[in-house]
Amino acid sequence: MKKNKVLHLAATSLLLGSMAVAVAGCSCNTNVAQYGWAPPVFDDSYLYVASSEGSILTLNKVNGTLTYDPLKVKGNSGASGLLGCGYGAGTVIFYGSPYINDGLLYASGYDGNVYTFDVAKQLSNKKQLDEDKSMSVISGIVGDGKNIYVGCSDGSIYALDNTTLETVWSYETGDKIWSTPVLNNGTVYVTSFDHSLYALSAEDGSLKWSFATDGPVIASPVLEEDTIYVASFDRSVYAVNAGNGEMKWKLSTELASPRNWFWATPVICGNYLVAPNNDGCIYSIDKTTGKMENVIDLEKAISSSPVVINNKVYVIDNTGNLYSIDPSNGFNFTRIKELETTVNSDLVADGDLIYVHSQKDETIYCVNALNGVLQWSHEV
Amino acid sequence: MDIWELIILRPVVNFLIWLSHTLFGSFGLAVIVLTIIINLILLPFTLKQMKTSKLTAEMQPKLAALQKKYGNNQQALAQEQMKLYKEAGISPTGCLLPMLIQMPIWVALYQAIMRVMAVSPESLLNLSSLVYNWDVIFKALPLKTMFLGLNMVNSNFILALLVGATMYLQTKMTSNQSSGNAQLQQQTQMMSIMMPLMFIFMSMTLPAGLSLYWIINAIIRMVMQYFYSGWGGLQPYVDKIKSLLHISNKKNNSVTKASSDNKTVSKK
Repeated sequence: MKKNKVLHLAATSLLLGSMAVAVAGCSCNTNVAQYGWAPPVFDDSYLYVASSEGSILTLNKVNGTLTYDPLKVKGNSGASGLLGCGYGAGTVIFYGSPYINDGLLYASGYDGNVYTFDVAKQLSNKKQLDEDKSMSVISGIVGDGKNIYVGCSDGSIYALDNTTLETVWSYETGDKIWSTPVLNNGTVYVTSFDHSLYALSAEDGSLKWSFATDGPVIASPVLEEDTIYVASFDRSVYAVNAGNGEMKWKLSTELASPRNWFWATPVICGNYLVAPNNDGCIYSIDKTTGKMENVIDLEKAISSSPVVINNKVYVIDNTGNLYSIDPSNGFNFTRIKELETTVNSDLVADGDLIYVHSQKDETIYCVNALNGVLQWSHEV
Repeated sequence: MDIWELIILRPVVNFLIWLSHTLFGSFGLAVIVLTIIINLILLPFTLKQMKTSKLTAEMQPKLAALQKKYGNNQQALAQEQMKLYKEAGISPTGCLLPMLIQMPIWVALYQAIMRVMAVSPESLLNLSSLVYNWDVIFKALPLKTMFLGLNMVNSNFILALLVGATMYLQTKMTSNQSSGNAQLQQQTQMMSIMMPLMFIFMSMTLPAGLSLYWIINAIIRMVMQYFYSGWGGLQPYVDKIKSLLHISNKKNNSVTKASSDNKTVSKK
């Protein structure tokens, strides 16, 4: 009888255990594993990469070899729980673009910290942005040599002292901030999930003006002279006067209507604002009138921001197809490289070279934009 | 996009988003309403499943007797069992078909809740591939995940305990149907403890939106079970509560009576 009971207990535990694993597995599939998508940054000699396993890698720009030992970052906690699908406790995932200043690398972690690294000396420091320690930092970092500026999922943008990482000021918006701020002439421009674009004083964080779109904004604003462009989840693009926040135009959709979110940050190439959309199309807009001039359907969603090299736009879809688009030549487009990997990270240009940080297989690719030849790749 | 996403997951995801938008932007309320709606749609199958379970449970003593009688002769036992099932008007696989129909819908609901909550940046990006090109959907996203002061994206200990409690009550309620077979009863008893423990464990690590869905689902199942076959395995507890209430009512009445008697005496 006792033996029977033990057998029953074992059988029931086995059954429920496998159910738990099945449900957990289901949650992995449905909730999507986290890899992070921080684009690399570079200085004269090195390329710095924040890996999905919480390390900072320093690669030689010429051949992609590892220069120093990877600097392992110790975070607050893992991004996922016991049944989650991310990495173990203490692993930090990076999404935002890092910032380099005076030999220090600044990076924002999903665990809510802003980190500084002296890669050569193997030193790191950190600062928790959100006091409740429950909010992540997805935004990239910009700086002016005195302060660094970073948005947080708690809805605030923070100005931190360059050296001490003490908060100089913070400004609270109505919802999460995931975009990287733009800094120009004493003004910080930042977009928020609360649908708005904000212009703040870099000195004290006071509000200069704000402009509301009809949807949340994840893409960073794009500034050129006195105009700031913003692409929104409402499937539209806006041009705003950078001085007073007045709208200059809203995307005219006579040619075609975007069918999904503008997730990636657009780029300016000549007279056009080139905006990739999650519907797989590249929309080229006359930057002075807002008229849509051309649509290229790449058929795969695009969440990476393009780059401009020699008056050509380089864009990558989320399956790793790298294209060049020439607006001056009838928007002629060519696939220059098939990387056959998942790419959500923004492209980075350095001269004629394009750096691609792929997700899942986690590799850095260096592609020559002129001929599409792979210069080197480094598996992170 | 695969066929599963196209036919089942996308409609449920978009309906959930639309529902959230319609219900004052409340994701929690949308989860509750969608769970109720899906339970109502699946009601005929659930009732059929309940009926089959009830009949099977009622047959347990007869099946046990047959097993005793034809213990060594498996072929004869199977024949007699089939005969018995036929007489009772149930198919031994009667529970299976409704379960097979319901399963994909429950999985879709579960997946839709996980996807719509978009816990991580990757999930939000992934959600964009599932949404319809409708104005109302784009205006609603990303959803506000606060409900009754709880963030539906984070796991919540209180909700996890509530999941365990409702699961325990639900399994306990159905447990007496297997009476007559000691082995089956033992198994059911084990399940009624292990199942809630497993769900508590999962709720403590998964988003609270899912816990809310499990709680509402268990409550709806209990209500249906109550109207179909009464309190079931909870009957002894209900009787105990009733008798306790009865005793306390009696005490109160006698105290009231005594005090009024005293008043009458003092008046005299």
